[in-house]
Amino acid sequence: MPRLSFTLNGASARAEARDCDTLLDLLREGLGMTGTKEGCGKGECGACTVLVDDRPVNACLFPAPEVEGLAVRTIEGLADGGLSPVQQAFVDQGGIQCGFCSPGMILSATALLERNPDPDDAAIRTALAGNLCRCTGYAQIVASVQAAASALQGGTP
Amino acid sequence: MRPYSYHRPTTLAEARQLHGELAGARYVAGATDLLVAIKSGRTEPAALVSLRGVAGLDRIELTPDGAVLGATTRIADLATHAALRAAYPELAQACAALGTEQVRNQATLGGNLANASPCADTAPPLLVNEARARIAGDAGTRELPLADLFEGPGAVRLAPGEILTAIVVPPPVEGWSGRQSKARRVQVDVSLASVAVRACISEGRCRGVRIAAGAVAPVPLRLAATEALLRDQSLSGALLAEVRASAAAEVRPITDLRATERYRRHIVGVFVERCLRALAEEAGCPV
Repeated sequence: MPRLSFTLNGASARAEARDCDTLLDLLREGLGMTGTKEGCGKGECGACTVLVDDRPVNACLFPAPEVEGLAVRTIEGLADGGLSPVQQAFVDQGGIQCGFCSPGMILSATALLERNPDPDDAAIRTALAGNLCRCTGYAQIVASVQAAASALQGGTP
Repeated sequence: MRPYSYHRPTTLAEARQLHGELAGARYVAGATDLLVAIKSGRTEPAALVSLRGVAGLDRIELTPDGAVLGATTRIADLATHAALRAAYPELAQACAALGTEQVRNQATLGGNLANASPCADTAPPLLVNEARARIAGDAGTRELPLADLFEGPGAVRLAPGEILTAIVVPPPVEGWSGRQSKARRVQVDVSLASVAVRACISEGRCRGVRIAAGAVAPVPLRLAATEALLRDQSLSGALLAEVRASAAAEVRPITDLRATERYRRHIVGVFVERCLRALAEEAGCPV
């Protein structure tokens, strides 16, 4: 099987994958990193969202061979000693119920705030439109992102 | 799912050679539609020849002679390109509304067009700019009007092995602007109807107009009869009502799981009017 070299959560990584594997297969089966979830397997639900070169993508539709040389960030890479501000905001604001959508949701939110530190409601909902949640009804998720934005800008969450 | 081999050429020549040598090979770029088709068993290629690593296909070049948009340029990059938005707002709008953030970060312009879905979002805004498709093949490079590329649902007029390498767009003309509108059930869904309008409106008169619609016919199409109603006419509520009816009649939608034929006809009319009103307002002469 081809051996792929890439950066994973800031560190060098090497993994084997079949040509017909996806990045999702590589992460979960190849590397045992099960934080990234499979929801629909066809790019509709966003449960498999990871960041590739800082941009959210559906790992279930990302051909594994294409990861060569790229920088991947998964949910496992966000915490640094403690939870990241975005993770903490989701915990504090009730943005997590069953937790299945949460890794993808939190990564999409993280990427949003990196490129737009002060998004309004519409911008948040547009950015997260590719992450479906069956539990929360999204209100607490939007509140979580707003709280995270506030915290990252140094205000009170 | 039938396993396939995956190849990453770095030049066009290498890509075409691989495609010719490998039995059951298909080109792929963003893979956002092809992988779905493969996983569902709808298509079973033996080999994928990726165009992502081919030099020169990922670019947005704007010059006084117009725009050259590389085929593997990502939809997200087209959506956020400030100069592109200024020159062709209807294209930037279409790209910003295509799928979801995750899809836009992988899907490509060439893939969206060569996949030839009747609801390809980038087609109507490019049609109203009379864009051309640049294709690499055995005889070198050829160009043809984008409208001539689409043969039918999922079918393009490309000879085996040919590669769509770029879309060439004429430069924007002073006084012209554009708008796009589309309907879908949720963001991740494909369009059930989309409209792009490019027009030159001044002092309440429509000096020139081009209208295209997607997801409402076997191929994306220009609405020539509706355009004729508008040319050189003073815009009024009454004329826009006629235009709305004409657009609704000119398209050829079907009823499917996303919408009925009746709704699609209706919403196309609404979108054409909406775009024209927005353009008239931009021109300082709201209807």
